[in-house]
Amino acid sequence: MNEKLKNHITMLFENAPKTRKAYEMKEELLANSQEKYQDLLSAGISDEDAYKNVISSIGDVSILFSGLEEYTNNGYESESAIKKRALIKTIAIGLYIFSGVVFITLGMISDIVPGRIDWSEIGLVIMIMIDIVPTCMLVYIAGLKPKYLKADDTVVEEFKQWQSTNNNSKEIRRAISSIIWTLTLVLYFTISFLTGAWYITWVLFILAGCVQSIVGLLFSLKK
Amino acid sequence: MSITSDILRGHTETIILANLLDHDSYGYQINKEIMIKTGNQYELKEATLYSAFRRLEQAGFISTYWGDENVGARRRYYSITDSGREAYKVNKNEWEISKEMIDKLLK
Repeated sequence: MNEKLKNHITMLFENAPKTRKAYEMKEELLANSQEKYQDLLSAGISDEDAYKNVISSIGDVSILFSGLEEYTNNGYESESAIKKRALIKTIAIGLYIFSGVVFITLGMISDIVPGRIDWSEIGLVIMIMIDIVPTCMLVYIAGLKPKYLKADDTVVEEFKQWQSTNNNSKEIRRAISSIIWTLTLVLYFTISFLTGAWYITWVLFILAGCVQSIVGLLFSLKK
Repeated sequence: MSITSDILRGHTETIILANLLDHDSYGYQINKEIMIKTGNQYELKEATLYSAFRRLEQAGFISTYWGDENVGARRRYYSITDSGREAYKVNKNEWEISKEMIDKLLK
């Protein structure tokens, strides 16, 4: 192994993107160069001349750099991270639906089994408690999304970083939206069952719409 | 020799495909065979070779794998695909046609 060759090639790749592809190409170039160097030595050529020959036959590697970018390595997510988030989201939705079923079921028990215990209230409490889990899961996911770190100080990189933080806050907004709607549903059913005033409690949904807009406004003001 | 090297460079990809027809190979070996076949008249720069490899790979004409050498750095091998063989035939044909045409025009 010729150290000089290795150092020279490492130097050539200094400005290459720091990706796996670039690393592999460097490895390939190194292997080919070493073998050529050995061949020249075996043919009786001197160290110096062999080295110069190999170096001069490399050409300009910078033309290759733009093709060595890869998306998985620059703040974007790996496939497994994407799958993980999708799984957590699915489970969260499932839990929301499950909590609703529990609530309704327990409410039905109240009608069927006579007694002094108000099952629907217990159902409500249980539903809210179950809902804590999926809500936390959604907020957790929103936080998991990786931040995009600028690769350099160009305008393109800055834009990508801005775009990524923008997407992040969108995720957080969506999480908050789902929390608002869950709470609205809970309140709607609670109040309706307690007061029986179904003819008016639907107003709650309009209220929820208002709250959503306010949240949206707050987010835009925050920027 | 400058016109010659331009023309040769334009056919780099087909040259590589031709080289891979009979057996898989790797960067330096391909270059070595080219040097031997041309009586040391022509040698590809590594950078030219690698960018051709990438284009061929993207087009699906070659596939690549790492060898498991016991000694020294591991080598990156390339092998030609079916569509690569097709592309080779097409390109070779086009070259034959161009060759004929130019010969006729230069008489």
